[in-house]
Amino acid sequence: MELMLTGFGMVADPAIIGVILLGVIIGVLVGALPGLSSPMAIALLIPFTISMTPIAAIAMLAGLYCAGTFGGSITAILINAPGAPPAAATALDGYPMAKRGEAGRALGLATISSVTGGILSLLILLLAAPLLARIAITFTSAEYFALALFALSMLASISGKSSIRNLIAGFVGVFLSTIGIHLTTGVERFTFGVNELYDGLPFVPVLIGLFAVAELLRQARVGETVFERVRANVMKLPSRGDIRRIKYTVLRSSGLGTFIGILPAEGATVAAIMGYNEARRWSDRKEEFGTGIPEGIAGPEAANNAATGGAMVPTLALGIPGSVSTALILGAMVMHGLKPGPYLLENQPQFLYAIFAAMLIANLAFMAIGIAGAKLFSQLTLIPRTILWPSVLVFAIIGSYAHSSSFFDIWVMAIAGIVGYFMLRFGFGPAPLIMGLVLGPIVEENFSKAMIIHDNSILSMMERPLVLLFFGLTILSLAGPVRSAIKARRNKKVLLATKEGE
Amino acid sequence: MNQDANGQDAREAGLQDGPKGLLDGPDTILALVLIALCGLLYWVSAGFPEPGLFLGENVLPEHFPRLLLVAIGVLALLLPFEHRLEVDRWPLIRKARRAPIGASTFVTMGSLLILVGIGEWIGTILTIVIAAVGLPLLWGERRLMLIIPYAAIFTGIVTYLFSIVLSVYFEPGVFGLTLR
Repeated sequence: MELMLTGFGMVADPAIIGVILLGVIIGVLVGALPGLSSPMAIALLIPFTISMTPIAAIAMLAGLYCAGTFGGSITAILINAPGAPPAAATALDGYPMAKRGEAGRALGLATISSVTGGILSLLILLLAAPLLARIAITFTSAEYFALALFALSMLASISGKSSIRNLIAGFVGVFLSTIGIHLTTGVERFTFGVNELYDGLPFVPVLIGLFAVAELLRQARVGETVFERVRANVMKLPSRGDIRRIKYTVLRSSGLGTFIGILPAEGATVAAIMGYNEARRWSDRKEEFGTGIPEGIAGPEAANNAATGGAMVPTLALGIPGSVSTALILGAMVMHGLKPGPYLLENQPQFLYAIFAAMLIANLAFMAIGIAGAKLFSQLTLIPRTILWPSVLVFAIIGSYAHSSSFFDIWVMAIAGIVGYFMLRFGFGPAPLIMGLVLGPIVEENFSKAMIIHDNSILSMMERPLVLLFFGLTILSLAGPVRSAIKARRNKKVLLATKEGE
Repeated sequence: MNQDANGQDAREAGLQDGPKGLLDGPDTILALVLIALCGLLYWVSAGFPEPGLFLGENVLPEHFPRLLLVAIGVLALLLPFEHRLEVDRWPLIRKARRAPIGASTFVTMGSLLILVGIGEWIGTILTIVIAAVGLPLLWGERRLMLIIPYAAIFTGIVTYLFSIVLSVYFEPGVFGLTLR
C-alpha cells in the first residue's frame, strides 16, 4: 500500500500530469490522422523528453501510447479511414453505424470499450508484472537468452506481409545492435573507422528514420485524399441497453487483448483483429456484423486498448517489449538511465505503480478528450498533406539532432529513412527491425554469458527446464506461420479446383 | 474483416497472374543481394583484431554477428520460393513492389540528402526552415500565404522549444544564426 502511494505520489505532480495530458492529446491527434502512427509519434517525441525526469518522460510516452491506440477509432468511425492499424477492425461496424446517423453512439461505444479494456489490462499489469518479475529474477543468462530468442521468433507471426521477411528484418535489427565496441572484449565491430559509431548505431535517429522518414517518402507520391465525412454530433455515452449488450464482449476482448499484449512482439493490431473475430464468434447475430452493430465496435476497441496494458507487463517485468510501441518506450527508459527488467521492479517497485497511475490518468483523460473533442479531431484530416508531412520532417530533423547535437545523427536518420522506404516496398516492416534492435543487446549479452557458463554447449543449456520450455515455444511460434502457409496452399488448391470446375 | 478481405483479394490476384515458375525473379535478386551482403560482412568480421589472452576466453566478438549473418543468409535462401510458401500474403508484397516509385519520391530523397549534406554548413535553424518551406514547394504546394506563415510560426516554435527551453546547442553555421 505504501509503495502504491509512493508510486502515485511520483505522478501526482502538476507538471507530470501536464505532460501526461500533453501525451494524450498528441496521441489522440496522431492516432486520428491516417498515415501517422503511435510508434512514429513516440519516436518523434523521445527527443522532447531529454530534459525530463525518467518518470515524467515514461509517463508522457505511456500516455501517448494508450491514447494513440484509441485515437484511430475516431477517424475509423467518422471517415472510414482508420487513423492507426489497430482501429482497422473498428471501421467495419463503426462507419456503417455512423452512416446510419448514429456517429455519436458509435464514438461513445468505442470510448467506453477502450477505457474499460485499458483499465482492466492495467489491473492485470499491476498483478502480473511483480509476479513475473519475481520469477524472472531467478533466471540465469541461459533462460534470458532463450526467452529473448522466443521473443524474436514471435516476429514470424506478428501482423505483416511475410513471416520470412519479418524474421530477416528482426535478425537485421539484432545485427545492427552489434555495431560498435564489443563490451566484453573492447573490439570494434563494423564501425568502418567512423568514430560516431563506437557507441553503437544511434537509436533515436534510426527509429525516426524508419518510422517517420520512410513513411514521408511513401507519402511523396500519394495525392491529397478526400474523405467522405459523416456528420458527427456530440458523442453519446452508451445507453443501459447498449452496455448490457456489450458487457460480455468487452470483458472477453479485454482478457484476450491483455493476453495478446503480454505475448512478446504481439501488439494492438493483432489484438483488435482477434477481438473482432471473437466478438463475432460468440455473437447470436453473426450475420449482422459489418452492418454497424455495437459488438463489432466494442470487441476490437476493448481488445486493442487492453493490449497496451498487457504489452507493458513483459516490458517492465522482463525488459522484453510486448509490442513495437513498448519497444520504443523501453529504448527511452534505457536512454533515461533505467534498466527495465526484474531488478527494476525489485529495486524500485514504486516505478510500476507510477506507470500504472500514468496509464490510468491517460485512459481517463482520453475518455474526456475523446468525448469533448471527437468532432475536432476528425477535422484534423483536413490539414493538407503539404503542411502535415513537412512538420513531420522538421520534427524528424530536430529530433534526430537534439540528443547529441550532431549532424551525423541526421545522416543516420536520412539513411535509415531511405533504407526503410525500400524495405517497405519489398515487404520488410520497420517494426520487426526495431524489435530486433531493442532485443539485440539482451540476446547477445546473455548468449555470451550462457555460452561461457555452459562451456559453449547449447545442449548443456537445455538441461535447464525453463530453457527447454522457451526453446519449445520458439519452435512452436516458428511452426505457426508454416502451418498457416500449408493451410493457405490447401485453400488455394481448392479455389483453383472450384474455378476449373466453373 | 479487412485483412481477410485483403487476403481474399490477394488470393484472387495470385490465382490470376502469379508466377508460374519455382523461383520469383525479383525475390531471387533480393536474396542474392542479401546473401552477398552477409558474405561481405562475414568477411569483414574476419578482420576483427584478436582480443587479449585473458579476454579471448570469452565468446569472441565475431561469433555472435556471424551467427546472425548465417541466419539471415539461410532465411534469404527462402525468399525466391516465398511465392509458393506464402500464397496468401505474397501477392500483397508483389503489389507494393510493383507500385511505381514516382519522381516526387526520388526528388524528396535527393533533396533530403542535399539538405543534410549542407546542414552543418548552413546551421541548424536554416536547415529546419528550408525543410519547412522546401518540402511543401517540392510537393506542389503553391499557396505562399499558407507556406510562409506556417514555416515562420512552426519553425519558430520548434526552434524556441529546443534551443531555449530544452537547451539544445544549435550549430550556427556560416550565417551565425542562433537564438542564444
